[in-house]
Amino acid sequence: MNRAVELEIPARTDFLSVARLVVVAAASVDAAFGEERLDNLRLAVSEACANAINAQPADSTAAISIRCDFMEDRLEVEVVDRGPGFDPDNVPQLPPVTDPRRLEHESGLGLTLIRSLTDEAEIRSSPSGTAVRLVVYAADVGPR
Amino acid sequence: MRGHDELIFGLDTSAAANWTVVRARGELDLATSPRLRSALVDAVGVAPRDLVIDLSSVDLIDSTGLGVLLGALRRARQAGSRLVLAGMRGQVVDVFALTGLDAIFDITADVEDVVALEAGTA
Repeated sequence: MNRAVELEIPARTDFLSVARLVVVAAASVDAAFGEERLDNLRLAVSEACANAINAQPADSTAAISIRCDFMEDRLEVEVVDRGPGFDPDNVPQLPPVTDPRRLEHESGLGLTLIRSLTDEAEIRSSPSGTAVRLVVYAADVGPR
Repeated sequence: MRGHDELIFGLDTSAAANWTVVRARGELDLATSPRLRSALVDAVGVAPRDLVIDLSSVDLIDSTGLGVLLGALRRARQAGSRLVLAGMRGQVVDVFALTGLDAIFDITADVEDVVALEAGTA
């Protein structure tokens, strides 16, 4: 049976740990996810929520919404913000980490982590907001 | 009563042999990374000159935390100081491998490895 958990957090960094806690606790309920998958889920959700918080104007009162859909074989998480959006296909390319010039940039690792930690990651963005959909399979049966 | 950041993240700085040891504990994320950045900015370029960051009690590091470490490495190189990451475990090790950052940082298993070696050769 499919189940869903929905959560809204203020667009504040000190609520990131709350989002991590709720999503991982919900994913732990029926023991379908191993420890490594839960760790990956925790960090991927955190990165998506951090991006969502950063996307909101500083004076925004809009919430970040997080919806988890538990399927038989996987968990889908969608993180939605009401920021101004961005073009996910036109993110500035930074030098590889082995290039000394990469040290000039402290940002730019979030999307890399999201894509590495999940089985599927999809970003839909418009001027009225961004939705990041993450899929993590319960076991190593999902597409890679 | 401690604030939220202090509940999920802690920092302390000490000196051992020729090293400044910055020990982080808990979850290093967008909320808590500014405190580590501030401590590392303060630590680079002052005596003891070289810097070891103890990550043995860090349970989670996100891209912001990684960025703070990249910035510290840049500042250390500019100051002519060594910077070593010690004690990484669990998913922190995986995150360094996934991002390729394990190739550019000097990484050791234990703070004591660095400090003891230095003390023994002094």
